Amino acid sequence: MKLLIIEDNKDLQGIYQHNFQAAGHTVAVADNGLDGLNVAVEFQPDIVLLDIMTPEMDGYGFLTALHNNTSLTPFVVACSNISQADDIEAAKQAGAEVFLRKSDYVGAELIKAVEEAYAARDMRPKQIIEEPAPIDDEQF
Amino acid sequence: MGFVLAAAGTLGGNTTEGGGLFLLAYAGGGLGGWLVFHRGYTHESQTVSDIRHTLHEEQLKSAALLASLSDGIIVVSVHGNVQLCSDIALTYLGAERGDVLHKSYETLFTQASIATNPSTAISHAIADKLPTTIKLISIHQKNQPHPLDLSASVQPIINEDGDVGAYMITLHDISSFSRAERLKSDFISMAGHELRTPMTVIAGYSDLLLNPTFGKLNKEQQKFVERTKQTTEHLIHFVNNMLDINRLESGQQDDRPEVVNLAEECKHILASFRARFKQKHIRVHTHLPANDVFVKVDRSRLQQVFDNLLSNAHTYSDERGEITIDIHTDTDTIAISIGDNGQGISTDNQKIIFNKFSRLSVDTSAEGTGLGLAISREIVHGWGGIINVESDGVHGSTFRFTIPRYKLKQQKETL
Repeated sequence: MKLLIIEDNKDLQGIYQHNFQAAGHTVAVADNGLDGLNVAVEFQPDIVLLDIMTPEMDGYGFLTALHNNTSLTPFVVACSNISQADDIEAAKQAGAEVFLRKSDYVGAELIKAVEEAYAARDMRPKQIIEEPAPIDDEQF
Repeated sequence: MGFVLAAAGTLGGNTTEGGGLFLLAYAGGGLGGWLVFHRGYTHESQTVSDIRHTLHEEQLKSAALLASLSDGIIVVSVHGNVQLCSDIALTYLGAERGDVLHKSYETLFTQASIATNPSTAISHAIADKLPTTIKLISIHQKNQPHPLDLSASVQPIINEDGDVGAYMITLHDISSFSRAERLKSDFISMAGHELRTPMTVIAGYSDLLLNPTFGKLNKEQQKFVERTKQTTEHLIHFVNNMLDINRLESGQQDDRPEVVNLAEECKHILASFRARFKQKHIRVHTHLPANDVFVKVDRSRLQQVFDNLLSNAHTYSDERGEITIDIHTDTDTIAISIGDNGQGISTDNQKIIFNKFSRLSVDTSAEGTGLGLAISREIVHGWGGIINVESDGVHGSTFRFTIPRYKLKQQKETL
């Protein structure tokens, strides 16, 4: 698969790149959202591994610009160490399919998480929260 | 005009010693009333005029005393009516004396700017006739960037008969303490987030070194790199837990509640532990409800509590031990217990086990952050539940926590 890594930390960018290439994926990299947008148009990725906090243009900006200015619809995995509920919700609202806490996933765990999420992309609703229906929202 | 003696004391008689605590409601004036410590200066030879004069002097002294206190003082009757409210208290609460005097103390806390209403806690203190301290009343003041944070102490005033004559509420400004807490919390948050990225880099490079695609390490090198990766991951886990407890203690939790089928979630979590249990040949017994039961909580927090308790049960179980998971439901509450037949927890340790960094003396070999149970307690309390542990100190231990039950519409109709 074609995977675009948008990550401003050069060490992590290199680690992700090595791991995904070793797992057989074609990888392109960008340092921030703005570069990522330009690379995405050229590279046409299946998956974008997107750091949320990047200089120039952050992950939210990238997702908005991608949606407004291109016809690309890659599977977006947001990846950040800023991982409070509000951040996760904001990333999903902006168009990320999955949110991973960066520090929880290195090497094989990250590849597995991304590949599994991508494989399951058509089998679940975009909103992961599944509420049994019908639901009365009032607590008894 | 006159003074009304609202709490018991000694006035008149031959006494030149002793005295008492007097609560004087100054009827018809703007002052409301005064708390007087009166020490035997009355004598039967004193005229009513002398007594009035003395009382007036005492009133002035008390007024000066109250005005000089940095704490706000409120006195309420046993029926909960405000009998005295110092100027500082009125300033703190943004209230006018005329609006609160002789009215229920609840009127003190009805201003829109008061974020945390202590009325319920005060009513409990009055009902129980016991002193209590409410840590925080947060008041948003105009043109101020930070709220005014107060603690409220409720102290019964005991009269000579040993009965409660009134209650004194003391409002103490703890804003500087709150600001220090916020600074500490911000620092932990910033430092934690800054630490996570380099630690992730170290773990990432260690992982790359262990990948044979990039060259083979000898046995010794592999051991060193594996240890580097494990230690770094432990450190990441610790920092994550530290950030978590910091967030929870600041009252930030359960932002994304959703309806969760508890038994299904429990099975899902247990499946993730299967390999670890198998490694120690631990047998797992589950007693899950036959019917679907639901809770409405943040799913990741629920997983976190299960994860902490199951990890502990695994850690402190012997080889070929047994772990029992029991979910008991009643009308409004679900109780979950996770028990093991490991080494048990002494009574002394049970008292501290939910405190932060309370690694017990017996578990020096166990790898943990010392925060898991403290985090679990904060999460469960945030749901309005309770968490505790039972153990005879020898034959294992059982952790129990409760969650309010959430009923779907059709379940409500059948109940």
